[in-house]
Amino acid sequence: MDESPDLESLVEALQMENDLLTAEVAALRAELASGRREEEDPSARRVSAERLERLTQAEHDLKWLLRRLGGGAQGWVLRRFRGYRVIEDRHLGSPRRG
Amino acid sequence: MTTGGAGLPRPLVFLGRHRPAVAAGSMVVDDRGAIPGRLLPLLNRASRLVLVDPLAFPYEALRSVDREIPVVVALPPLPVDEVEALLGRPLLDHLGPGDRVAALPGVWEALTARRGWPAAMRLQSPPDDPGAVVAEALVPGVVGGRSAKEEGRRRAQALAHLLGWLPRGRGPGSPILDIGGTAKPWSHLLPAGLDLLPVAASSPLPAPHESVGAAVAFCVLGRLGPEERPALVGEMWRVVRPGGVLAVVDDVVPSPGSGRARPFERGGLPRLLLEATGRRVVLGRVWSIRFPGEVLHRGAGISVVKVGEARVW
Repeated sequence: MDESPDLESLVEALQMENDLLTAEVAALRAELASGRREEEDPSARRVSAERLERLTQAEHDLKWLLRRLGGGAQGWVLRRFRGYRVIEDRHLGSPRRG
Repeated sequence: MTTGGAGLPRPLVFLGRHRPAVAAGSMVVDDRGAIPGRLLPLLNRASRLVLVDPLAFPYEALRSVDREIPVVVALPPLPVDEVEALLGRPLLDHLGPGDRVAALPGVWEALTARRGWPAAMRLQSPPDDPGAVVAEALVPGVVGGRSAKEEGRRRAQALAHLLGWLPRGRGPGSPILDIGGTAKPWSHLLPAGLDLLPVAASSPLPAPHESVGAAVAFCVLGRLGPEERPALVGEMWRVVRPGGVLAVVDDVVPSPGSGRARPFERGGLPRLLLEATGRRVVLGRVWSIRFPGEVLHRGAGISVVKVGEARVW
């Protein structure tokens, strides 16, 4: 019979497809497991680089604003408010006492 | 006017307000027949959709399955901004390499620059000559069949899956190097906002070290000789930032009946991605692709993430 080379190539194609599908299942399982880990442990949650950049920028802006407000003539007035003192302590670390 | 009966798939020609002569054997619809209820049975049997008067076509009649039909369209002789405003969402956003477009030179150049359409998508006929457009559109082989267009769409959907989690816009994940410029024409099927930058498929790639968020080889590696592939993948690794993505879409499984010709050895593509990058990658996503009417999953999309310190050349 002249069918053996065709059969051989079909078996090889099936093996290659099987490899591909196995790899896909493994990747999906890994992705699923990663999602579960994030659900169970919020600290494992990934933050995108874009979001991280925005958060860092926001923190810098907040610190700059607190310094400008606290360093001005109205700083002692602001520090009479407990909420302001808490924020200043949290972000600048060494609150000025007015 | 609606002509043409049941049977084998045939071209569906939408004349709208024009009256060019159409060769026998096509289903012809004018503006009076442009009613969704009348179009649906014709769309089911259409091998290609020829839009002679795209401004008069009822796009709301197209279901998602009808978007698989190869389209040949004569764009109206208007400024490109007007063409985009009138036809962008309903038509142009759905066109890709499986379709053909007749357009004025200025309009064609502007659309190509925006959408990355390849030159092969252009119809030679002037768009304001409906007779010539219809004649060229009905030439056998001017567009592929539904299955050829759908194959491209499925590959693009695989790429969309690989790139789905990348940040959009000109942020840390951008630009995305489109090697060979083969992915950009499928932008309409990719996640919105990706910043694709087409470059020639050559080694070295024209980009500095660690300058891009991702590099895409969309149906490129399989066309190269086995000796050229590692160099290109190595270049992709070089230009991608640590944490960035190398995404590859190609046909990896030989088509049964195609003899011994096969694009990759067994396990060849993953091995190539590992060895050409010095194993400094981790597996990202894998997506198998089964083409219409085929039994085996023949295509694959694989992404890996670059890890570790950059190699210094």
